[in-house]
Amino acid sequence: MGSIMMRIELKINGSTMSAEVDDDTPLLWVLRDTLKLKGTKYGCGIGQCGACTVIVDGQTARSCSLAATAAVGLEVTTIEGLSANGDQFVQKAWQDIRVPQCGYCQSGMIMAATALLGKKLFPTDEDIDREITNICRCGTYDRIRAAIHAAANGRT
Amino acid sequence: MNTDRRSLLKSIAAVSAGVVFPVTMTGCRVADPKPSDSVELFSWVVMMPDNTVRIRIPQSDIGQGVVTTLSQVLAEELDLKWSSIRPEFFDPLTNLKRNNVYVYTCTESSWSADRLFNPMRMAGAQIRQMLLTAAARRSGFDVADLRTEESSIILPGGGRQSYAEVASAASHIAPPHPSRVKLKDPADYRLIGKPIKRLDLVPKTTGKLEYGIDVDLPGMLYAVVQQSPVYGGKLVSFDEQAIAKMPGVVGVVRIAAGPCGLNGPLADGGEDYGMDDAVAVVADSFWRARKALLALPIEWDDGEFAHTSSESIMADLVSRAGRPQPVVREAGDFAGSIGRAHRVIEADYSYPFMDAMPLEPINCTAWLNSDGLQVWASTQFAQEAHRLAAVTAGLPPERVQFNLPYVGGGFGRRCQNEYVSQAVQIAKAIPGKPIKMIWTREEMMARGYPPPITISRFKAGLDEKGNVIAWFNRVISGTAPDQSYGPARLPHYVPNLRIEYARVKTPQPFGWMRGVAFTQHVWMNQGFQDELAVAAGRDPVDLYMDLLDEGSVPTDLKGRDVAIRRIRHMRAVLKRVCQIADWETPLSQGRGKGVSVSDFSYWDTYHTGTASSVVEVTLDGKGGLRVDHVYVVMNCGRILNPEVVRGQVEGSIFWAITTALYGKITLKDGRVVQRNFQDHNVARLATACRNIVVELVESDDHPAGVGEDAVPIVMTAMLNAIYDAGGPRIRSLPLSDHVLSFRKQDGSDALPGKPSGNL
Ligand code: FES
Ligand code: FES
Repeated sequence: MGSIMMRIELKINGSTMSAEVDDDTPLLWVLRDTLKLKGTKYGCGIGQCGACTVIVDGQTARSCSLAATAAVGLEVTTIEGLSANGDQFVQKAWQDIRVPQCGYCQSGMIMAATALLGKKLFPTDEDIDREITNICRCGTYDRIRAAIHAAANGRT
Repeated sequence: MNTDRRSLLKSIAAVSAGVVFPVTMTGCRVADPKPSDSVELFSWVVMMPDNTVRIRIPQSDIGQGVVTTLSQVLAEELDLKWSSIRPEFFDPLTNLKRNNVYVYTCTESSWSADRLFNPMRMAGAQIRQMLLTAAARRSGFDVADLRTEESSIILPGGGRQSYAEVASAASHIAPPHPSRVKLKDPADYRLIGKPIKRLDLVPKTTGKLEYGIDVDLPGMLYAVVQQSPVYGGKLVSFDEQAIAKMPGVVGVVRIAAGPCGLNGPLADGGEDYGMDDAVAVVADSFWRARKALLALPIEWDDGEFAHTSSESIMADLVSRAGRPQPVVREAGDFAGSIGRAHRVIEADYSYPFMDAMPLEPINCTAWLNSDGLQVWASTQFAQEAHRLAAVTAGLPPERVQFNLPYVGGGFGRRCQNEYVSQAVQIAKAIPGKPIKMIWTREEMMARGYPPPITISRFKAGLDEKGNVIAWFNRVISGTAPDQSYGPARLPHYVPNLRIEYARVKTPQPFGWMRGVAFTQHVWMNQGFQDELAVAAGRDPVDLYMDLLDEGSVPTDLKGRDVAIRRIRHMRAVLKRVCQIADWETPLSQGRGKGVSVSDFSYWDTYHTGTASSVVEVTLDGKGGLRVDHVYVVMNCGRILNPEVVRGQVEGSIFWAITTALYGKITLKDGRVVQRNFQDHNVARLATACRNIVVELVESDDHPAGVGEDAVPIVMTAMLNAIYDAGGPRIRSLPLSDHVLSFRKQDGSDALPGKPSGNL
């Protein structure tokens, strides 16, 4: 009711993908249910938890709170776009530090960390606190912080 | 470690061998059928032709790492090559048909290591014997002349036969009786106790791991539910016509109140707390279903709790605290001794409703067709989910296939399976199509299974030297199973003691939450003990050590050996944590430290770990609080994987911080006030403590649980530290309701608390 169905083209992980959506559909559900990119997670739907974090034109975006139509023409990167085998430098730091417990928040965490490391060569603890507001209910925060520093120090 | 992670993912999703149900899909994707020459051995493993081995994991992986730790246990005795292991979750139907062959399949009470360490070692050793016997027959050698290593049998002279080669012959050999099987000497362990990386580590960093919410099936529909917003309310009507023309809407389904499944095995005291009426909108996408549900006019009858609120419940508990309640533990003569006390201290502590809030929202996919019913759900209790699904569908269990995916956090919330009943009811109403039901976060918060709201009234007497000579505690809680262990299973034997415990019915059903009643009562008990120490002018460690006195255990006590062991373990970890935290060194103005020690001794035969914590905090005097250091020393018996255990302790620390800072669900007019994370914050990086020291005690004891033991002690130490830093005495939660400025001489406070703030 009130929404219009339309076909949109999205640039995701370097490819153009087409989807038929109601114009108010959040990018999250287009990624997950239409394009079957299920690494991006639903946690709260209101921009609070960050499980749905993707990178849009270099900036983090909470895809639950961004209409898919608003992403038209922008470069969207999801967790699936970081690497084919999990060897992007942030992912590798996450593996070295053994961050994940249940893992559900970690796509969003890794995307947020990747964006932060894209802006800052060596983020400080204060940068991390300010920029990464995602929720991890398993409590992997200590390792997330360590992994961000490790990723910063390890990148060549 | 050279594990092939992609095939791990596949194997997790694969069909369990031996299942006769005509499965076409399983896990979350089309199954790769097992080659016909794969061989199942003794229900626990499937040997593949390429000599990889599928290990059945009889637990849910909710982040605690059982896929890895339990594989370590079985693979140790079976001498498997680590990189050849492909774990897969157990099939509840197989377990049912084979008379609980997987021994313990409910994922709760941090029991995986305790309950499966022996059975899975034994299974591994028995299967190894079967393979050896087959290899001996085939090669003509004696079993005694053969050895095993890295998934192979080594013949005298160095020849090798892979397990795969002899698996088929081994499958015809009866497993040896456990009494004839010798388990390894722990000194020879090469997997158990080693910090092996999790088998699912890489897919947990690539987004490829499949949780229940990721189930995707051809032609799948989506359902979104709303339950009675007031606990105990009834559905009167809804106006389907109002949304019938909305795009994508397939139908509206009435979901009847009913059982939610046992929240644990009956033998462990499992209970069914039931669920209320609900309405589901089914549509061709989640988003459309959600929009239509929001637009659907629904009329509810709010029922008996329409005017009940946290405030009215607490007022009732307080008034009951003024009257005698049933005595659950008594010694000496409390009434007489309190009159002789040099000082008498009294305090009321209270605990609000809370919510576990795992990050993966509740979801369940169900598909009813002429072959039967298939269900997928991230649950902590798949066995019960399978039973409940069959009962709800009205089908015999063999016609129901339950598929257990990975779980995006449990923390007790997913011991209940009401969502399985709901999804099956939806599938019954709209048969022939797979339907994925997802709760919104708002629905999750509105319909939690909280630990009980509780009041704990204390009165204690001190003698001239500051010794505790009399202890009284009266506890009244909301709906819960018998949790009298919280106040009553103190490790202390104060000579004059009286503990009373009662429960009243409150609107919400009860649910387990990480730390269970220990989180409540360790804090209340040791918060009050900290008050006693302050009143006596004593160091709380000194007071605890005095209370933890072997000599005070009555000689005729039933379970005296357990009582003494508890005291010894507690004293040891307490002493150690004081050393590593440099307890005796005072902190500067505005900073403070607190200490706590506990085990998880629900009852005498409950196998428990023991842990102690020191926490240091800083108050800025303007309401800001920072947790500076957390130290934990834990003795959890034999450690299966130290890195996994550390992760559990770290997780427990942040759980404790969230619980202390924000843990509260408020009921108003029978409804939960908090709607989503904007109303119920949790610890995040900015609030998380940056300095954590975890020390694990080396031990040869049987492995004990590690998933929650650090929660109560860290929370207690943190709250006691606030007082030590000059802040208020915290007797209720959460901290966000408190003023955290420094205490004034007259006891009044000035500024509102902002516990989430950094300094
Ligand atoms: S789902 Fe988008 S922020 Fe939580
Ligand atoms: S790892 Fe489970 S929510 Fe972060």
